[in-house]
Amino acid sequence: MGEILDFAEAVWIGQADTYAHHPLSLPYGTDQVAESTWFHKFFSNTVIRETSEGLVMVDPSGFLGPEIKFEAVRAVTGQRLNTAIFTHGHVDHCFGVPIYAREAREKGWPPPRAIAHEAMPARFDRYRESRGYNEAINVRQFQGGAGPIHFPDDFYYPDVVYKDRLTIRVGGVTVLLHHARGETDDHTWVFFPDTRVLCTGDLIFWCVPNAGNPQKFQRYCKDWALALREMAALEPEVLLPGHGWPVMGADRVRQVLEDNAALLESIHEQTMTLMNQGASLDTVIHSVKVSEDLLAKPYLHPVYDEPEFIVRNIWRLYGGWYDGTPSHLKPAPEKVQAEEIARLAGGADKLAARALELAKAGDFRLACHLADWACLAAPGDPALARDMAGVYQDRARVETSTMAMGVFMAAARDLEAADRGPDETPTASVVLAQDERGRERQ
Amino acid sequence: MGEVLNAAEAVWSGRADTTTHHPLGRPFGIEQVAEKTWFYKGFSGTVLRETEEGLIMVDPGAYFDAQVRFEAIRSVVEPRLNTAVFTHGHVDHVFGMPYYIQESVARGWPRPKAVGQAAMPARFRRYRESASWNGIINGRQFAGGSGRAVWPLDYHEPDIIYEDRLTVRVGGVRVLLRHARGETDDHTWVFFPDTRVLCTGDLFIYAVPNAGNPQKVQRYARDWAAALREMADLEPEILLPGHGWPILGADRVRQALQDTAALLESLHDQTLALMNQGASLDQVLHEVKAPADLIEKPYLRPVYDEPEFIVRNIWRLYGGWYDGTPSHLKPAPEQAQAGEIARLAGGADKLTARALELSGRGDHRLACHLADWAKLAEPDSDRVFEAVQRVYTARAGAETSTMAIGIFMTAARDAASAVPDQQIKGVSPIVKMQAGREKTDAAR
Repeated sequence: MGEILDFAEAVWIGQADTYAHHPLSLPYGTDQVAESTWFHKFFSNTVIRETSEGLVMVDPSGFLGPEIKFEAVRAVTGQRLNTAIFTHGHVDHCFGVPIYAREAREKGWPPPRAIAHEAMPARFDRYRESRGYNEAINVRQFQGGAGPIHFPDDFYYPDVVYKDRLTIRVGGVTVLLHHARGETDDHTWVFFPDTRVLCTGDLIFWCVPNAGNPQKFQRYCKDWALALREMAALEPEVLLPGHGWPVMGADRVRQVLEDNAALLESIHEQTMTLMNQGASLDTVIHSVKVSEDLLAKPYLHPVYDEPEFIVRNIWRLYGGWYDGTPSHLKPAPEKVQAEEIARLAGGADKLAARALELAKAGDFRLACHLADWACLAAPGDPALARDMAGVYQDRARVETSTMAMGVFMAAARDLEAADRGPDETPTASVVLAQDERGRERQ
Repeated sequence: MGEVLNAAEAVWSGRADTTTHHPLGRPFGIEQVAEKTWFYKGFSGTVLRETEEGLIMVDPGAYFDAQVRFEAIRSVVEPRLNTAVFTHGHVDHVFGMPYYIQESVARGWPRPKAVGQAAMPARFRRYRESASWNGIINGRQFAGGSGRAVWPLDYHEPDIIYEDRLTVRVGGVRVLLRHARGETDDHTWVFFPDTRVLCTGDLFIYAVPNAGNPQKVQRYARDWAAALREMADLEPEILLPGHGWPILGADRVRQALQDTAALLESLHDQTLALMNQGASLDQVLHEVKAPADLIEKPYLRPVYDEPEFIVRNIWRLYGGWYDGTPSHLKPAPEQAQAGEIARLAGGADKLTARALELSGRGDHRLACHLADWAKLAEPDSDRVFEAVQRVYTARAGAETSTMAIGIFMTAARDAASAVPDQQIKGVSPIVKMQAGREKTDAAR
């Protein structure tokens, strides 16, 4: 076993955990995981399968560092790329093909082809149209609001698209592609019947499924669970995820798939039951509870997304945008609300003082409302902004998920910037901050 | 011309308007609108086209009026039903097939078939899974919370489904079906090239497009606009909508289609531009403005849905559920927030006093926040409930759209009592009230 499989084993048996070793983090590297099959662990993962007519590759690269991925692949196999499969159109999965296409031209090989679900081109079109939005939110999600970020617009549109299922044969190897809505509307999971290798794409992430992501497009909790059950029915022996580590052995693979499915099903069913009773979103998000046993599994910690956020996306899918609180239907501007609250309380200072008091007592949810109201009511008060930035910094420290930490770190940074002017700080990584904190606590 | 076409002319020419003639409201009836073509105006519209092999029918009926509609149609048009087209899976459009099937059995006619877009069966599955939810929200939307709407469970699944486009020939008549995401993901619009009759389904409803509906699943403003442009390119001469009145004449039809498209495009482009600048939902909601000249068109008044709500669905489609205000990401329960505000203010009575003051001044948006906080902070106070009821009754009185009036009436009613378990079926009390209210205002 190499470093990646050793580490996968350590995380599985609890010698290491995802609170200190985020599924997106180091160690990075390549290991052979089955006959003719390699796995490259990086921010996102790549699966490499040799055949007698070249490689089948799942998710050749993200938009960052395609050369690194390419070199990692070329270090273990010299075969030409025959077919790339994009598990979905997220920008950390569907890049890299142009490097192989150039290589093919130089060496006189047939050009590689990329296969993906038919919804992917519309996703790329949307990304190009909403690039500014995607940069703004990814700065929050991954960098806590700090530094510049690049969101690509040079997508490689798939050469072949399919709708529900597709079976391909490459160099005598059969590959099954299945579409499932889940993290995206264009997800594909891949199964190699000869080796019983399953490539889940992001349908397995080595943490709470990213079915809630606060700032992104609709996700599909129930379809996702169904897909995981279908995968388990094929009895795979090796699970190669879109992020995180390989899972080796039929029993472990089944357990991971079924536990992930059970978590999603539980959240879906609780949410639907409450909606069918006419509950408001406020009631639903504070009533749905997830089994602590499931969240304690090494592959289901809430280090990237969170159950509460998944509830939101179920409401968004089955319900409307209205949350059931009548004043929220056509609200007053938030600044007007905040000014009213400050007036009733006897000034923004009162709100800020209470925010600090609540934060100290650990009631961060309420503290942050008071902080927002205080800052909206007294936008020109640098000392108040600095104090409220402190509330958000403290909150970021107690949160476990990249999603929540990123948004709260960004909130703190925005307030600090209001205090001291334009932000000169370099790019920061939320995931690295998570890992550092996790190691400090060990 | 009959009553329906008369009303259509009156509304178009400004002698009447949709504030007194809500597109879902009366007059109802069936009238001939083109050669071999009839239009039934009810809560929703039905189109009938005679061919040598029976009728083509667009949207046979609603779940609450299928029999009435069947009888009204049969009093005027005799041929058997050959093919029904469901423009979309909403429950006021896809019912009535059993009456025609029963009739075909009784008379020894071939069984009629229904055509729908490929996404429709999944919609019916979702409706069954979330039936209770849908009954509750429709109780708010159409009946101001005076009860729970009946929600059907027994759908006629389309016998034929298609994906993007379908051309059918029935009794020598060619019919073009086009899929477009818009009000729903399963929408079909229909064009008859021989008569140049266009059936828009709910992509045209004689009001601000229902692309915002606060309580329902995702809607698609831009695809909708693109579909309206495509329709206009076919140069139809008669527009038969999913709700509201027929539009007769190529110029009027083009104008109605293009203006509706322009409204949706404007809202879409403004919203996306602000999102690309990193604006929060709060900013977007209060900055996007619908072009005033469009909102004043007789067929684009905000009597059912509203531009502000359309902005919400554009954010929901391109963005996330998070609105950009950090405390809203993982909020405190609203009762805890309200309790805090009441404590800081010196009690819930302070909040209700201020709510009534703001309401009296016409600042309904802020007044309703105060009312909600008061009610949440002191849920068992009759005094608070009474104030909340007054604030929301005043607000419902000041709103123009069925969506807003229904939700605010519900809030007023919930403040007064627990929701009664009355079953609502039939034409919306809100729609009736909207028309009645404006008539009373006009009389004053």
